[in-house]
Amino acid sequence: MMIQRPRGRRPVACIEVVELLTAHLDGQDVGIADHLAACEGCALALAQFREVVRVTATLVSGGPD
Amino acid sequence: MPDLRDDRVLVDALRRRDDAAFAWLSDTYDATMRRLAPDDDVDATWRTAIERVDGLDLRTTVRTWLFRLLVAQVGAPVGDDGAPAFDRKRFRASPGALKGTWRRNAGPGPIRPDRSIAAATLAALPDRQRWVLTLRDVDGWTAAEVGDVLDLAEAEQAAVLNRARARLRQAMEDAAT
Repeated sequence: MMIQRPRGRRPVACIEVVELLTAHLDGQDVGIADHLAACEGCALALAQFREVVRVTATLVSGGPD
Repeated sequence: MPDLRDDRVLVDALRRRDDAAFAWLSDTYDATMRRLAPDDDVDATWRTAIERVDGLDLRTTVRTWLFRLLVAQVGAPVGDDGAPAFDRKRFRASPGALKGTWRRNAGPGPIRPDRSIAAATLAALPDRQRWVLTLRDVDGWTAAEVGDVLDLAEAEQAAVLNRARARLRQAMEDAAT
């Protein structure tokens, strides 16, 4: 899915969006919010990244792997 | 019992050579350090920390000071494969408006969010990805702290962490199919 970026930014494609998911989660303004709201595949990738973060947080250092 | 989670209290106690403070520091950070570096280097880092604690200033946090000592001991982790988050074959290569969009039926598949998969994949990550993922996602450090320890700018750190998370996501997808 190709979404027009706001404020004159060039359109961003899925192949670029998936490289910016962590920056987006970190709160950086990387201009992919509109794309994520409209693209099912990229929204699913973002949700899966959140799940990866949740699972990884259970690997507390010193705890069992 | 003083609250050693407060860096000012902790530093005061360390400078007094308070055994309880050193024990707390070790209990809190030793396991993470040994995930990231060989035991000999971790042991050497602890010796350096004990020697240099009088020079510790509070412009940084105690844990970033400690892990900077570890980086100085082992060298900055540089291994990073630079792999894309998803296989490029999953995106259309044709020119025009659809270039770079998901191919039909090539979007993210179901994943099995299993901690044993996460642990095994984390252990096999390139060094720099392993350091960043461990500190950020396992131990919950802030991006600023990790940037301080590894001298990584915010955007570069996010890219490294994105590659690491993508590797774990892919392993969980592979396990689900």
